[in-house]
Amino acid sequence: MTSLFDPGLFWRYRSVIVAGAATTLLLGACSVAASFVFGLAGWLLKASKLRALAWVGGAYVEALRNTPDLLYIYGLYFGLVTIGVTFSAFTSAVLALGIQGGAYIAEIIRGAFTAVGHEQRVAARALGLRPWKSLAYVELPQMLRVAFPALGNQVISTLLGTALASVIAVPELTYQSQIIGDSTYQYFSVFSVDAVIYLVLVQVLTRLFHLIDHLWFGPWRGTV
Amino acid sequence: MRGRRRLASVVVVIAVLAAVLVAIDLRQGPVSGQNEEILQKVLRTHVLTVGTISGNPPWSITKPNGELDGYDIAIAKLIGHDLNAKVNFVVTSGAGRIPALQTRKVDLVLAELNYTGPRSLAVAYTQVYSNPISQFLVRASSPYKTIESLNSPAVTLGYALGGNEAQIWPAMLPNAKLQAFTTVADAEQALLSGRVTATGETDILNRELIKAHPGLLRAINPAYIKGFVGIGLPYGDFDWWLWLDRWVAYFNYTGQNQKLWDQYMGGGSPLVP
Repeated sequence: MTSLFDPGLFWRYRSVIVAGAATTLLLGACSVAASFVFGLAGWLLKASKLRALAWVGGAYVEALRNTPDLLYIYGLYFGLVTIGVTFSAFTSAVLALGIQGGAYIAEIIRGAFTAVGHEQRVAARALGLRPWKSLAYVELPQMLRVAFPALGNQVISTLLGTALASVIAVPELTYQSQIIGDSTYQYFSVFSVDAVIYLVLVQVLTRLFHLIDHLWFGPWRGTV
Repeated sequence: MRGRRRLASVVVVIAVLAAVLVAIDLRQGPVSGQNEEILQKVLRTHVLTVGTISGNPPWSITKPNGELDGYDIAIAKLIGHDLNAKVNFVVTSGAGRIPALQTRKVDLVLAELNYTGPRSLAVAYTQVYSNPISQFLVRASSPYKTIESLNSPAVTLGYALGGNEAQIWPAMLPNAKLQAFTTVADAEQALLSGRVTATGETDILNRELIKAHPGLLRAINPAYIKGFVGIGLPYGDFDWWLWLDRWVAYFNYTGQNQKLWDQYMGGGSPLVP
């Protein structure tokens, strides 16, 4: 009869687990990059003066924030094939998580843009700065400072969301753990190892964000 | 200072997690004398908790009204009747069947659970109540016509976690690649969408799938394995195992099994010599 907890499991399956963790990081990084692209596009559309574009941006943000990631993962991987569009499992996961995360990032950017305040733009114009210079030198640094903690949370949320890609057989950490659990029946051991790895990854990311926040925005702390 | 406190809190979380897992493990052990035996519990509470899977016709399916139906479900209801107990179904995934028994979330599992060597180390079984055969299923347009032809690096075989394919296929088709999916439905979808070359299921499920997707799928004959399906139960409870095993023997020789098999499978015999 097998025990529920096997402390030696990590060592025996270390190469599989490490490969899974590496894929999780890669998938997370690509998904975050995609979500920034979609988020920026979503915000630009939503902030557009053209009503049709603003409507498209608004619809994107609302639709994606009110539906689960899993739908998009399944839809992109299994659904698009029926109309002749074939993405690999990895690309499907990156796009699904990127599109979903982009909706949240669009809202974070919108919030940061609103927080900076109109008077800052007026002041920059009064100093003779053109709109793009005002954006680059006055608004964006302040926006980034406001948005940074929320963006950090979104990055972590996307990283943890990569576990959903296991349903379409992306060999990330959760998928590899399921495979190990399936062949050893040591689900508790493998998922506890999983939990510790996710915890460590998120802690490292959190600390990195704190460090960047401290280095970049430390001197401005309390000035908004 | 704050950084050290945060690090300490992470270490505490990991330590608590490890302690919980060790406690769960210590709780398991030989059950007699530590937990109430299942048979006594069922007779006392008149509730039998049965783990099963859904989406596996005609073994177990969810009807439009949300009720479970199928061959395994009917067997569970018969057991419940004989124990004078209400049957409480817990629907889990294929991969969730074994942990549900290991953690005693369920009293037994009736979910087309085949005997395998590694599985037999994790849970106990009753004697066999059916021997379904399994075949590979490919798309109708697939160039692969025989089992041997699937032994190619160009072939990807899709399967659902929790089955015995990961133990059988690598030895049978060492050159083919394997791709695991969370559920049987996902593996089927992967076949239909061309993500995998073939899947392997019982001839009964394959027949249902071929019927559901006319002209799209084709089974490869002959069967690659004959199954040995028993009722799964937790290790360490001798009385429960003995009662259930005798119950299955009675179920087999009285013809009740054949009757249910005819009703749900449409003929043939549940036990193939």
